[in-house]
Amino acid sequence: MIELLAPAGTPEKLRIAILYGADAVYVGGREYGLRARAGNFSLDDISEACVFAGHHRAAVYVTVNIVPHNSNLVRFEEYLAALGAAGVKGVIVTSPHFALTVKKIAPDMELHVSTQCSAVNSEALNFYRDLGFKRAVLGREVSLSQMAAIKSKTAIDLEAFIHGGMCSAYSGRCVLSNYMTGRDANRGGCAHSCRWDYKIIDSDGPDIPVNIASKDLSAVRAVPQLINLGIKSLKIEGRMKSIYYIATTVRAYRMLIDEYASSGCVKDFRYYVEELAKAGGRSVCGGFLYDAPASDRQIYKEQLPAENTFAGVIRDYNSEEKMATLEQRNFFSVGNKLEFFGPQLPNTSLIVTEMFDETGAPLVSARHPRQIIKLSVPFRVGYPDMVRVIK
Amino acid sequence: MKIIVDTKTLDGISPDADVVPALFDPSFSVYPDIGYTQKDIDDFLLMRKKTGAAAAVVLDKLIEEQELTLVREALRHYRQLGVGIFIYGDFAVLNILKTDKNCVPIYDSKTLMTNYADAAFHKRLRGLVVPSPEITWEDMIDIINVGNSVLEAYGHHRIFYSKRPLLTAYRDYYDIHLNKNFYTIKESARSESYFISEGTFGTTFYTGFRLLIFKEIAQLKRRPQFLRINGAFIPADELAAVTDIYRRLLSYSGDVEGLYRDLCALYPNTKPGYFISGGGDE
Repeated sequence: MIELLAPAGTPEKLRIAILYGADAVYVGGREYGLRARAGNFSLDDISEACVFAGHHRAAVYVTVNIVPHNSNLVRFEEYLAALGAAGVKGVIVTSPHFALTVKKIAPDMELHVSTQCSAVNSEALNFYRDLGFKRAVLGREVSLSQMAAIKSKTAIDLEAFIHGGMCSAYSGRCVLSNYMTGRDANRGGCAHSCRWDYKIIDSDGPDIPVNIASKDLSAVRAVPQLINLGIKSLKIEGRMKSIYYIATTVRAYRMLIDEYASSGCVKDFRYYVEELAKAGGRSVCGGFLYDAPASDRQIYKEQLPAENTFAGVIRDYNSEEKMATLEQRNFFSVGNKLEFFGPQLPNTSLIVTEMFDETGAPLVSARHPRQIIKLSVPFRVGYPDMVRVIK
Repeated sequence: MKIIVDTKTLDGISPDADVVPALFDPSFSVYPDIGYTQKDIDDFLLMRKKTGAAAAVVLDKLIEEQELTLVREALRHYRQLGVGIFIYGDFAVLNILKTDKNCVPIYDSKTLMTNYADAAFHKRLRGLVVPSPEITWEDMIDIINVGNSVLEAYGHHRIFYSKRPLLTAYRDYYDIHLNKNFYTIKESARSESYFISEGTFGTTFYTGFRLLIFKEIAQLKRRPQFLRINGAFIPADELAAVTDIYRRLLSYSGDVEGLYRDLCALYPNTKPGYFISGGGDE
């Protein structure tokens, strides 16, 4: 069975990802990972994450995929030993030295080639395999037909991104952020400089405003092909994204994979496309999966969809009173249409007719982040079901 | 220590044995302005082979799966023409060359070689490395001390490499006049400029300033194996003048301060490198 691999920027996101159907999660520690501004995990957090994941037959991978400077080399062995003791299944690595250190200190842990390596051909992948890598995250520039050719020429397991943000450059081969902001893109500080506005200085005329940002990737329609190709793991990007994003994307891809596994076909891709669109964010495209990139893969004049459709998380349900307890995350009011969804809960909607605060006082609107709200809900819900506002 | 210099044209190559011309393979290099054809390269290399003079070939693009056969053929071809130095950015090239004990692979990813331990990894494979300039000078010295370094000493430094045709895509979307493959570009809120170039294999950004490491070289206790002079966006005659100044530095034929002043006079917009200044928008 193919692995659905989800991002987990915090312990809460990890629990959500696994409860919503991820087979594995990747997390960053406080050091060595590429998302310095994500919440990230202490070693204790990682230990607890491995226990939680183990109870749900899921795996935890840890990113140690910075491009290390000399100062980052100290204490790495100690850190690896702790990861091994915690029960981490594998680590995602860019530096060859880090890879050799993993083989020496924690030989039972799987070694995965980071996408920062931009491994895009079987010759390079075989180089990594000979170093002891078990799996490689392919560069996002690889097409489906190239994946098929690669698969036939290498024994290394392949992992492919199916959803989320894309670098405009080959990952790892961009230091715009370093030069423009002093933040090291290859050590977790990327300022996403490729998403800013630029202007070309044209000696023949006025300056020309330009953009170079990429649309996000969404590979919904490619999932059956990726499964048929024998790709080992399908990866969702987004350790910085919200629990709502994690829940929505993981759930949609879980359902899609399960439908294809059980029936051998996917009846209606549009359902999954629409579900994923509810997660919000930038425009999406098929990336490099089908053909060469062109203007339709870039973001030029983007009207971002309305955000904050995430109303809250269900914390409890009183089945006698048919009252749900919800932790509010974004504004909603009496009269709004809400959609409830969860790992086992199909999308179910209702109009808010009444709601109350913790003391039982009636509310017209839920205005305060993390406020506890009581809602009349005629069907059974529970943690970690979520609620979105349907506009 | 020798100097590897990008070759803009195949005329007027320095006869000095300490200067190794770097030629860019038209099919496997992302260099922005190659001024010669494959036949020109072959003729030139054949001539170098007859005289026993060294040459380097650059194949620094990331290799697509369907290109592997052609890359293997190209490497075999160049070896037959006597080329012993290959500058690459994809481990596919290293993997192909690993059994050839008579050539020198130089890893030049631009961005991924940032510590002495990874340099030592390549040394065990008989490979040289070009340290990325986005590190401190102290870290650079540690890498040089490993004994397999090619120090990027001069020129516009590549800081972005994309497979995407970013200029063409933008032009097509807005149907605007954007027909050159090379422009100066600025981020809207910043004053410093960069060069953007689009070629067959994608889009690259280079620093608008030229990296300049000069006086520091004279102070090194252990020297790198090669200095590298990048020629992108530098006129050929200017590049020849730069090369001559570095050659004189290495042959100790001139006072370092005077040579440095001559070098700065050629192009004032230089920086000693992110590794010394700390980087950022100045």
